[in-house]
Amino acid sequence: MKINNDNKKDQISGNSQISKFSNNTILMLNFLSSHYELISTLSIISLVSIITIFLSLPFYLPLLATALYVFLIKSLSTLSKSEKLPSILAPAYRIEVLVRCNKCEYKEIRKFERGFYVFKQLGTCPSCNEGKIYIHSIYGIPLHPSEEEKEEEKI
Amino acid sequence: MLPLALLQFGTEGTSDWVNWIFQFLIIAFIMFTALYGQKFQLWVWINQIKVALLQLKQMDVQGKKIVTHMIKQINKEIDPLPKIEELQEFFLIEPVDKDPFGVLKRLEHVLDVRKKRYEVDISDLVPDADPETKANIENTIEASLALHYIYRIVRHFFLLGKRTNNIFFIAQIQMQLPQIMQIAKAYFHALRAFADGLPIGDSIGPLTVTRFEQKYKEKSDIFETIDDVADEIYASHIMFNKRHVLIVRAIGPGGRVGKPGEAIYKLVEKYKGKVKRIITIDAGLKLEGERTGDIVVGVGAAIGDPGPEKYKIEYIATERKIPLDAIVIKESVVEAVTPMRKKIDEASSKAIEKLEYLINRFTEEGDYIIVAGIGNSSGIGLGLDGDVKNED
Repeated sequence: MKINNDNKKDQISGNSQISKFSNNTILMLNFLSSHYELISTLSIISLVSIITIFLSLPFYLPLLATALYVFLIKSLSTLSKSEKLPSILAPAYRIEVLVRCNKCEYKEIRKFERGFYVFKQLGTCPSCNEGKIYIHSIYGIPLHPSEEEKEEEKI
Repeated sequence: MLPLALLQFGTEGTSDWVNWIFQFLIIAFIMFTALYGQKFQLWVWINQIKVALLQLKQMDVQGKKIVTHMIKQINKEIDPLPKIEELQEFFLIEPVDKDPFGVLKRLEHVLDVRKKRYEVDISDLVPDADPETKANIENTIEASLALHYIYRIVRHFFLLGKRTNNIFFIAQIQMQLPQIMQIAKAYFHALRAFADGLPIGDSIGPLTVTRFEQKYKEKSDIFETIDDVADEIYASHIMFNKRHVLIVRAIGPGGRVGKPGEAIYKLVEKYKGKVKRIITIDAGLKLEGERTGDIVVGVGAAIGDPGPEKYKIEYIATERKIPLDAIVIKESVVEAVTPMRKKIDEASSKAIEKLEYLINRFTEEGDYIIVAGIGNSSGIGLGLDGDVKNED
């Protein structure tokens, strides 16, 4: 059986300290970027609270400042969404083609080429030299799984 | 020293004027939300729709480019854009249903005319292309037509709402925007899948019946194809466990759905009194929270056509008292029109197990059973000449 899968995962999870450090940094940056709104709101609350205490300002000031901040950020983010436009045109799936032999256990994953279809015969089996290899399956793996798909994976 | 100096800022005099400023700001904020809240909300919604409309336009334009490129690759002599734009505006007027008598026959007639018209137009664009490529071009144009239609509808309500300053027009589009965009993106990816001739989620019906046929073809005493059953339909006759199984599916690997209802009708007529069961296999919509690729079994005709094909199956089954079984592979709307997921592909072996169980449990030796794989046959060939190793 021959499977031409990428071994990137194994390469990334190498035992060197450098790769561990970079993995942690990437994880931290991912966390910060995904929780950007929450972190920035908490920072604003803290900042305004400190100023309020030092200047003996009214107690509702942090709340008001936070409300104004969220209101402005939410309104402006609507307009900034136009930056996401190119993502629609980018490829959304990685297409894999599973090739099998009709006589032996030979399996192979190939890249999709135009003209491929399920049950297309591709020649003689390189393993047993007897059977025919054919396309058993063609499937798409989403490059950016939706929230629903991520949830399903967890289940 | 520094903390002491900072504490001196908090004097009574300082807080007084800051207090006044903030009180004024609060009153101004309340006044603004009370008087201009709705206008501001409208402005936010309009901007959201504007962004979505830009994306829809981009998808529409890109869709046209994909179809144009596809046609140009085959026929370099023509400029297909005017014809594609004409086809995108092509419409079908559904028959009158105030008098429902024969409405399905009239609908079928209109659908046939539309299909024939499309075929002629595509033949004009690519006269030398093979039928499979023509079928894929037809599907790609259909997907671009859907995208163009969504864009036009959203643009219509957006402009209407903006012109009349009517919040309700804007609100109804804004509230449906996530679903609209999801469907539009699905059609956009479907368009690419059809252009490349990939199997889509809806192709699971034809894929399952072909895998079943491959599994038992060589072991079967009889294997014959049945010609001229219906338009764009492949039918074959194999033996499974001493039962006669009549396989029905759309021809492939070009994207077609064919007329499976008509094929089932004609097969029941052909094998008069011998057909004891009709089993349809199709992709079915899953509810939120359900798993993609789950198999469910029920009764009835599992087919999602506009009506005529389902009617024919139900009519002949009722007239001849033939039980109808349905095997459904669950998937979402997006998954049904985008490239087939691995989970859906793997579900076909489970569907075959269910099919074998239904045949063994509910029919007897010598019975004839019709097994129809319903759905688009894009990217699914008609099988191999030789046998396929039984991987189960």
